[in-house]
Amino acid sequence: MKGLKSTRQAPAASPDEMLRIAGAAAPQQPPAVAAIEGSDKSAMLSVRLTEATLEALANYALQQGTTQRRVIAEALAARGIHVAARDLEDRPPPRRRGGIKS
Amino acid sequence: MTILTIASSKGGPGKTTLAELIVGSLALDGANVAALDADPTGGLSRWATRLYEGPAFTCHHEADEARLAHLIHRVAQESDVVVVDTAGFGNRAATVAMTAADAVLIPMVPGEGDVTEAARTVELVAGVASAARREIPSRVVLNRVRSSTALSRHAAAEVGSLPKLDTGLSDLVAYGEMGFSGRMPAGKAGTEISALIAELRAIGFLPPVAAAPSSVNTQAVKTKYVKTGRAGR
Repeated sequence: MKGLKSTRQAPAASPDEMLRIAGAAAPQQPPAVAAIEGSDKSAMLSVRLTEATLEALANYALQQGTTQRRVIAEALAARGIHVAARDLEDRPPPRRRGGIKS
Repeated sequence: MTILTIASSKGGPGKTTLAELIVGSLALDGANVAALDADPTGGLSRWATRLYEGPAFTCHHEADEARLAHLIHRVAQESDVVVVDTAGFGNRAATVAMTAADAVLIPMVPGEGDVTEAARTVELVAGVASAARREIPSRVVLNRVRSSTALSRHAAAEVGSLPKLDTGLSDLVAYGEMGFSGRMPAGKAGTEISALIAELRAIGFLPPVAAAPSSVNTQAVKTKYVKTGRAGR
């Protein structure tokens, strides 16, 4: 609402921190559910979208300090679509191979 | 925003029943409460969607630790209170729920194995708190207590060194009936759960004042259920 500030607070830890802390505190624990069937191999998905949408996606990811891939993965998970845990993790920044030299 | 995780490394101490009682009572009080079912068996979400009768609350079922972490983070920003029910064995999702928690409740029925596992769960919460570098208080909740029996008194004495709530839940049929009727218990059971909620508020495990009930639909409505994963398959 205009002029009114939300007093909602985020949890003490981010999702990545929760996973890291839980892994450090109890590294031997098994997952609560067995792994979903399906290959762990990665594959490409090519989707044609308008440039405005892609621009908005890129800007949002930049603001959030994350990757476009992760924004999409989180949106899918929020809709109840199974997303492999690996796809919800931030990947390290890609190593630059070649590219434009300034 | 308060995240209350209900956990125990032993099955059968009444985690789901306790979660149902707390979520249902807070919804009746008009609180903006959400339930997260991190148990692959899905007992809490099944009860919430198929049986529960009372003011609506949101319920999600997610037992994958990575997706649970994201879900807790999101739901916590939309709710005043989030109650997380976990599976009855040591597992990653339960540990993530402890990591996210502002407080952890550990139900325990009178029994040697239950005392041992309650102590282990208290230790695990302390370990998680240490790794997170913040305080995550925990309390054992005695459940199915028959105060007149030597067994209940002995079990209560055995957990003497562990942090424990003053309020416990008696061995009442009303709690089992709630699991089938979907209605919050009245009578002695209702008095017990009111005392439990009051104690949780007093020690800061729940917000001290419920949200104003004016904005809450007080008609008996089905809980909004959001299935967010394929847990339990």
